[in-house]
Amino acid sequence: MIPNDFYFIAQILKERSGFSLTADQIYLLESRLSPIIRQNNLISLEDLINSLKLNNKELKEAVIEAVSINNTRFFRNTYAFQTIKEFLQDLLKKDAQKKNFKILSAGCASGQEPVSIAILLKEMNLPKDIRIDIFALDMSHHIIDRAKKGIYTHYEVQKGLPIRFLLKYFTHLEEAWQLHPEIMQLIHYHVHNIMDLFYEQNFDIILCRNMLSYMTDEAQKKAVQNLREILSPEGLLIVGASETLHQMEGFEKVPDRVGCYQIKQIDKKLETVPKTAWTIIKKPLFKPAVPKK
Amino acid sequence: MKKALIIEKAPHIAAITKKMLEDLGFIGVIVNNKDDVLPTCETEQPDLVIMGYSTCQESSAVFIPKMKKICQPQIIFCSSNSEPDKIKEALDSGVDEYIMKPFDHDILQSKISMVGLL
Repeated sequence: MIPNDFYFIAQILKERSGFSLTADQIYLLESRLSPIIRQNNLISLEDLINSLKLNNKELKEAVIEAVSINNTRFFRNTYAFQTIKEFLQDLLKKDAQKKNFKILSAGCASGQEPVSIAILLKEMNLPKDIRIDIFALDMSHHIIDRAKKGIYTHYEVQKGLPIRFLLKYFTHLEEAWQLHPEIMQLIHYHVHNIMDLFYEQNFDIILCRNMLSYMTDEAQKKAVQNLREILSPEGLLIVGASETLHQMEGFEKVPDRVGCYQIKQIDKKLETVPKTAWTIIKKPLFKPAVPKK
Repeated sequence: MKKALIIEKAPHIAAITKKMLEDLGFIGVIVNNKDDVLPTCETEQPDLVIMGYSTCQESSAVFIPKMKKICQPQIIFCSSNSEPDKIKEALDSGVDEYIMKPFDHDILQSKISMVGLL
């Protein structure tokens, strides 16, 4: 791939999704664009670039979907799920009147993150009058269509998902596993780019993991601003544990909680700031499948 | 270093699994004969056992409690059988996790994390 072609595609990606590609990712572009060239009966990368220059919108969307990072797994970084569990337990304790909660999974790819949250909620055995809706967003139509089917391959269900949850929440198909409707119905999938403001507001928890750090500073700033708009004042934003973000305007880090942010509450009295919202519990997220003798 | 026992008849699968385990920081010990398993457990005292279904299929419900009397490893069953009833049977016999073959390094790593050894 010649540098001009690389920068042309990097520019398309930056404009539409805010994702930033660096020159060392040429290999990534080449491997991910090859299927598009074949599927569209194009001859070469040059042919693809020429079609894109003719402003072929469908092709442009296909390129953005192919290049966007969709690396995911069930219960990725269990620490984040422990945090969700403890934060919700704390919210329930703080406000007994509150019965409805909303959680957002931004950049949900094929759904492993929202499905993990839904399983976590089931395992928490929350009181029956508590309703928690999970919204899951991704800008790719293709990937959201896949997530809505709730079908995962043999390889996918073995990454991060304990076997007893596979048996409990999935049905075995011939070549794959189908998520049970009781879990599916907790999740509302939407095609949405977080560069635009989402219509739902007042989320108690937003997960936006391993996405913001791939964005340009400008795009990151815009996305963070949009997330801030839809997060409840006492809500929690969880980003990737290893992400270093520089555009977290309006947020402050939660002490002793990796990747956790809350909205800066300058105008509120110090005692209302939930600095010690949860205690850190150093125990496994779920009990072992078989009690040890 | 933690020690992993690989109970597997097929030499190529045993060798690949051993290499994967060594990459994850384990010392891998292969046992390909059912009769050698318990004596090896006694001498090696493994932290982890990767148990090939074909090697121990017939008597896992009897075999695993015997093994647990000698040592207390985390046991991951490894089988090409993905029928829920068979998986449940294995879990009931005392295994901690279950891998459906074929598997890759990522799956093995994920399963070992789940049993708390990574």
